[in-house]
Amino acid sequence: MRFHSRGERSLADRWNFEAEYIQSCNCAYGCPCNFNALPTLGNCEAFVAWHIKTGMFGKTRLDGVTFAWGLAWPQAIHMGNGAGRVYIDSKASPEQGKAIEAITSGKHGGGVFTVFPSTFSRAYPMKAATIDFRFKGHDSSFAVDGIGEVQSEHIRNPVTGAMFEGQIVLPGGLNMKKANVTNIRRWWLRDDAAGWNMAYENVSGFFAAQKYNEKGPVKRAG
Amino acid sequence: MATKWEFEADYFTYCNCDWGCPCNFNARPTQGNCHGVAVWRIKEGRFGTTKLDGVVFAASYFFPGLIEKGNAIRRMYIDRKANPDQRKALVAIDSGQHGGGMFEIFPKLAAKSYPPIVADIEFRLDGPEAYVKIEGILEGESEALSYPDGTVISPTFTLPHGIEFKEGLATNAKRWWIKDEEMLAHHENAYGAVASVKFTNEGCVG
Repeated sequence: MRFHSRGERSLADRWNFEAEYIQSCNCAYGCPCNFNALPTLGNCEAFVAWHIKTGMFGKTRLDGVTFAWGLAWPQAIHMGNGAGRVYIDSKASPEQGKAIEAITSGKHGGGVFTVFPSTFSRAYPMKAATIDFRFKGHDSSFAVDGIGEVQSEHIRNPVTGAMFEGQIVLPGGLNMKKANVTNIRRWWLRDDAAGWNMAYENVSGFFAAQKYNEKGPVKRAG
Repeated sequence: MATKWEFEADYFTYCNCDWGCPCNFNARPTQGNCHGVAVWRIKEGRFGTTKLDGVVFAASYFFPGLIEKGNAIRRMYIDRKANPDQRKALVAIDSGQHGGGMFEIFPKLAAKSYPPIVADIEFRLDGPEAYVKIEGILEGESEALSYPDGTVISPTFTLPHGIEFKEGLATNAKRWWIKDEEMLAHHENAYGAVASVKFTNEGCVG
């Protein structure tokens, strides 16, 4: 993989977006990988989604675009041999689809949008499907029609049953700079062509308001 | 009748869990059990009329399973520089009879609480770099956490319901060991955290 130096990056490569973000994976609450620890079960399977509120890729406006990413690695992410497929909401225009395909190709910078593809041995072609994305704090959810869904809720205190709320702040984070910790009540992702049949209950989740550009996630105020 | 007390302190802790410690999020401890050490250096505080400013104390605890399942073994260590009244105050707090959130809960979760020991406690804290040593008993050292490519992460937790801290910086406990009765352990590259904390009879309030 080649990186452009800052001066070399052309205007067409520039992109940015502000988005609502929902994450699920197969780790325990809080996800040890955020702290550079090994994934709870040794491998990493994840299903994440962004709903772009405002954004641009070169001259293409990305406002309103929703896309999800199915991800799988046999070990920790940095150990490689991963696989990924992007699912884009059917409402996106062909130009928007191309922009999301470009961003997630790893060739246009941007934190995990570079790092994840660099750890893939298989990147499956993008698929279009209807995505129902509901950003509602701890009770957020998304569903990619016929392919998978993610349902989030509060983590509960094991003794008192009280709702638990917590945040992690990662100044050096490659994806999230600040995120709220949730319980993913249930998530599943079935994609036969990718050989995926994932289903988990009561695992790590996050929701976050994100700001991204070709250099990666941008720290937000507040 | 509980005595009114409060303190603000620098705090350093580490355990046998992976970085970040899943227990912070109500997940299970990485290895199924919990070996931990915590150190407080009181900046300002009082127990009744006894001033606690400058007092350093530590606690060790071994839970065979989840913390909430109890059956722990534990002990408090009080720095020798504490005067007799301050020592009495800490022994009282450690009894669990004067509230204080985890100071009340942990004694109740213990199968065995060894009596507090007065010893020299060496303690340093500078950002993610922290160090504690009680000669012949325990030693722990932490540094900044980084990603495999060397990027320093500086991850912090904000835990509004936290019983230990409300805001903490996760660190790498490079190495730590303890040798005190049946509390015997040695860990490397494990969970660590540093924080500035505020406690009252009600528990952790900041």
